[in-house]
Amino acid sequence: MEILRIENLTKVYGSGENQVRALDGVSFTVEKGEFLAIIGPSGSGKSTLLHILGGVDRPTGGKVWLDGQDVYAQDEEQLAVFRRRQVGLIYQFYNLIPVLNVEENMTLPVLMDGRPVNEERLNELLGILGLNERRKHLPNQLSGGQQQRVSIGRALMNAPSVVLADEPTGNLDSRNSQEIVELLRSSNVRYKQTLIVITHDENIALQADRIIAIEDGRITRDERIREARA
Amino acid sequence: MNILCVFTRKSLLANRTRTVVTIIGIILSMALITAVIEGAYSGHQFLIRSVEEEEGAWMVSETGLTPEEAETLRHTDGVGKSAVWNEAGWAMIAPERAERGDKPYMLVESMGEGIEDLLAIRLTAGRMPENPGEILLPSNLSLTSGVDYREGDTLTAALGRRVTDAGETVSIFEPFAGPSGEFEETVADPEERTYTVVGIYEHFSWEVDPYENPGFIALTRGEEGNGNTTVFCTLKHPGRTVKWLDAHPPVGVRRVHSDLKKFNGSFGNSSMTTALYGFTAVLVFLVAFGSVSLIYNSFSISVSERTRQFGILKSVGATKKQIRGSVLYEAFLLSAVGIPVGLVVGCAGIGITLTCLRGAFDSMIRPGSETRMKLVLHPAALLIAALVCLVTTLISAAVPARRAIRVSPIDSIRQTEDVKLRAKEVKTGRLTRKLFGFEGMMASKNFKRNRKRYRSTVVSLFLSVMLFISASSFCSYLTGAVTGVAGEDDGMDIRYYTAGDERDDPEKTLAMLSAAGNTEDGTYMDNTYVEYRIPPEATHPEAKELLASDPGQEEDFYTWGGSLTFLRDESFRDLCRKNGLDPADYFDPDHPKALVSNRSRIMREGRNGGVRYGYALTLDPEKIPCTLTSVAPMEMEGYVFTEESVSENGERMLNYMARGERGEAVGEEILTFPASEAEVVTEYDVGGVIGIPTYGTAADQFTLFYPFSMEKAVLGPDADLYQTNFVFRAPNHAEAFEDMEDALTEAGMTTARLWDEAARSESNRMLVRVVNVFSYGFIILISLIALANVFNTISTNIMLRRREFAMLRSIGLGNRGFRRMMNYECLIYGMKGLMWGLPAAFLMTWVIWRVAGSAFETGFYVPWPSVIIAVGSVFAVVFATMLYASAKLREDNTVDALKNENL
Ligand SMILES: Nc1ncnc2c1ncn2[C@@H]1O[C@H](COP(=O)(O)OP(=O)(O)OP(=O)(O)O)[C@@H](O)[C@H]1O
Ligand SMILES: [Mg+2]
Repeated sequence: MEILRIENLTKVYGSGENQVRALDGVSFTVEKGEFLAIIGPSGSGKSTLLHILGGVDRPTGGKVWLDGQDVYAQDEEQLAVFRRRQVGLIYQFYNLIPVLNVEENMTLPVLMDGRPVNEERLNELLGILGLNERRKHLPNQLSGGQQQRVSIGRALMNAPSVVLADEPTGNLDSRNSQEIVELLRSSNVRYKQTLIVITHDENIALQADRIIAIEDGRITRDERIREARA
Repeated sequence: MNILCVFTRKSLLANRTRTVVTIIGIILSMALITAVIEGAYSGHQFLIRSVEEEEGAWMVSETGLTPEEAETLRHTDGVGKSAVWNEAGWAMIAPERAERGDKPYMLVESMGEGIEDLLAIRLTAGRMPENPGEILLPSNLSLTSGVDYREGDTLTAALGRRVTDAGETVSIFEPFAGPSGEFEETVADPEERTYTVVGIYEHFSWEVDPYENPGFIALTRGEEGNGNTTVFCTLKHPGRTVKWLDAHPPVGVRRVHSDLKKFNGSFGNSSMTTALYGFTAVLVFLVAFGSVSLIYNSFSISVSERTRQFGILKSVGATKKQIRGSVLYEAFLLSAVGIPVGLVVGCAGIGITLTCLRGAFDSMIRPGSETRMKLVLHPAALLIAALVCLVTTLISAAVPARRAIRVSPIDSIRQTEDVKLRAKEVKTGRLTRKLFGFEGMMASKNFKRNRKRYRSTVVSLFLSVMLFISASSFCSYLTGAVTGVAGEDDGMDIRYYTAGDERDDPEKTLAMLSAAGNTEDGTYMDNTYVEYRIPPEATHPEAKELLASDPGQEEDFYTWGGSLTFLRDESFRDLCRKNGLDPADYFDPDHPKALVSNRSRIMREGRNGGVRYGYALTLDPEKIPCTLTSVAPMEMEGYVFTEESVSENGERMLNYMARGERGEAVGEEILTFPASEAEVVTEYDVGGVIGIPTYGTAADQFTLFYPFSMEKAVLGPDADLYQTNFVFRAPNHAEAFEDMEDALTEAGMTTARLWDEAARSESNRMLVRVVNVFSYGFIILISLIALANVFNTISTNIMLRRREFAMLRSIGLGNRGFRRMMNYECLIYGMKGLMWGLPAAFLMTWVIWRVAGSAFETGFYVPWPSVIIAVGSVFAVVFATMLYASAKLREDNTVDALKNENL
């Protein structure tokens, strides 16, 4: 079943001489439960694409459908609910709220939705992310990798149908990286989540079901490695 | 609790300095608004109370009503409290006064229920009357009428109605017609009545007892009266007096309590009113602007950080409503602390100020009055102040939120809106490089590429400079306007004059009074008013300009009224010496010469048809010596000059008629003479100009001074100026006045010609003092606001750049370098702030000048001392704040700061 459809997506930054075409007519579809890796050189437009999929940026042209819903046809209010329920976004630069501790940062989307926190799930996630000891710490008291893991926890907390991760392992050693990927992967399998990961790490890319390569805002390669497991 | 509320509270706690400064900002703004509103309200209430105590609380009165009409009026819509008095009748009590045209009657009014609440009846002796046989007499009866009654005396009078010979009732607004008036008046149906005098009251002011009234108002109680009823009433809505008056046309003769009406907001259309409103508007504008900008700045400096956080919240699914809610919650939390504290601080501040100024306020009103200045709180005004503050806070907090809501989350996170870095080429000047080195270059690049970040600091500096200088201008012009409208203090405290035989030896009188009053300075003079004719070439351009609009001016000379003063010889010599002139030149009886005090206080037509006050020079100092002239009809034994006329062949003629006993014209016969024959021309040789002397009217009036001994030489041997004026300066005027009174009584001279001028000008002086104290308070508060504003912006700004500095430090920027960078930044801040602030301040000053100019003519000037203070303080405050902030930064651990995303 198709969960994501991207049609002719373009994103242009700036104007005149300084104009940058970060995305230039990108189209593809993603099946539900698929684990998709996006690779490409730095500045090729990967983060831009992911942000647009996550509903936090606006495309200059083109459309994004998620679950049959035209994402950017929604009004701001619906878009906010979309962000908190449908997608989990893991940023390249964590983007944690500095004044909130680990636990609060992680449960932010749930709390914002006015739902009670599923303590079991929280503990489980904290355990898997190795943050049990750190649950009351503030972001600036954490290492880069730990902060990254908090942002992953925040994205997974709500069990969203699509998880978007922008270099989730950028700050981690290979062993830790593997653990994170496994965590994402298992969540992907368990909740039939669609998982889209941007990575520079070939090992991680090779674990995906499918790899899309982007260069200068265009898809240069779209390769299926294996059938989706979820 | 809602996670966003948690987030809000934690943010506030984490950024403690910013939170505290923001709260201080709210407190200061709230305090200032409260102080201004409550101060104005208290002052207003004080004026109303003092008028009510002085003249009674009645607002409208109608006289000449029948009892039925009176009842109707008392029950009219909008009428509050009301009371009546009924006319018991008029009695002729001093026929000899009638001959002189003075008040000859006693008018007995019978007081109705509750009249004491509406009229100020102040007993000076005895008690209030309680039944028809008792009477209360006004204080002016025994003072001036020669009819002296004491408490306990019995008084018998024939009371009747005051009517014309045609039988029409005459009201108290008609002066005594007398036997030679337009009509004959009599007291009809007189009826003998006997009263016991139970007390004396301080006679009513003209608002109750009009000047024309030919009767002394005596009060009794419980008498039916002759049917002529007067109603006094208050209005339920004193602020809507004019409307009420229009809606209810008078039945009898209506009077409105003009002082009370004025203080209740129904001002007339005078230029002072325009100025008053203008000043108030400027004041409100400055205060509102200052506080709004302070609160707004407190929030907006951290906008970029906040925007980013809002962006993150949004990207994890916060809705608009939630973000707005969090912002409102924050504003609410801050207001919940700041507003009540500000309210208390403001009330306490203005309360203390008013209490300290009590003495000054007391002397503005009648001595011995029980009305005292005190803080009167107006709940609605406080509520409005609180709301203004709350709304400001809300708006200030909501602006970054709005921005975060508008743009996409990723833009908010990246702060693309707030930190719009411009990748433009920045050339650092060679001087900068030399003075500030690499660090200066860094700073200037920072400044030029990241303008937004600096803008808040520059804006707060700009506002501070503007507010401070405008506040100073405001106070300076206000004081000027108050002094100008009230007239300048002429420096003379006590005044006396002699007439008739007593004039023979002024030196003796001067010596006696000086000794008695222990005065500091004293002199005497003869003076008179003269219409001077000034040759056009000797006229000062200022005067010419004024005269140009006067159609009555002749072509070969200008007419300019002024004083002609013959000053005691010794004082005249002093005057010469003080002005560097040789006295010997002025004592030649064959060629008497005058000194001129060249300035006149003038009234011009202002905007809105009001008047405005100013000064103008009359003679062109370059053209002195010069000669002025004046003409007067010649004196003719047994005749008086009546008027000018024009004969058939166009010649000006002077008309004379036979002279009556009191100097009035009598008979039918008219003598006419051509002006050329009958006019006497007097010449005045002006020998020198003097500064403004402190001898009476010369402070305000164009005056020629001659030595006293030259009077006959100037005016001719038969001239008579009828009275000699004495002026004294006495440090303790009240005591001196009493002592002089005693001395005069002892010498068998009248005390009626002795005036305590200082007591009168005291209230003006006090007014100026009150204005000054308020001005200083206002300047201090505005400065505090400005200071808080600048401190807030700069320190937060530096804190926000913690990471940047830590990074620079981590790549080897030392303390010295850091200081250099800061110094350079301070310089830029200061310059930029002044660059915008000074012109804006001058513009505001100009606006204030225009406002002041509607009542008082004054040249435009900039309060330079304040400008210098402002410039100095700008740099001082900027550097001090920078020092503080960088000291705090130095405590930072570089790595911590680098990691710290939170300020
Ligand atoms: N706000 C912006 N304004 C202007 N240009 C931008 C902006 N954001 C991104 N770009 C440009 O868009 C292009 C794509 O950026 P993007 O962040 O998507 O790259 P990326 O593939 O994620 O790179 P990396 O692997 O280094 O993270 C880049 O060339 C970048 O310079
Ligand atoms: Mg990227």
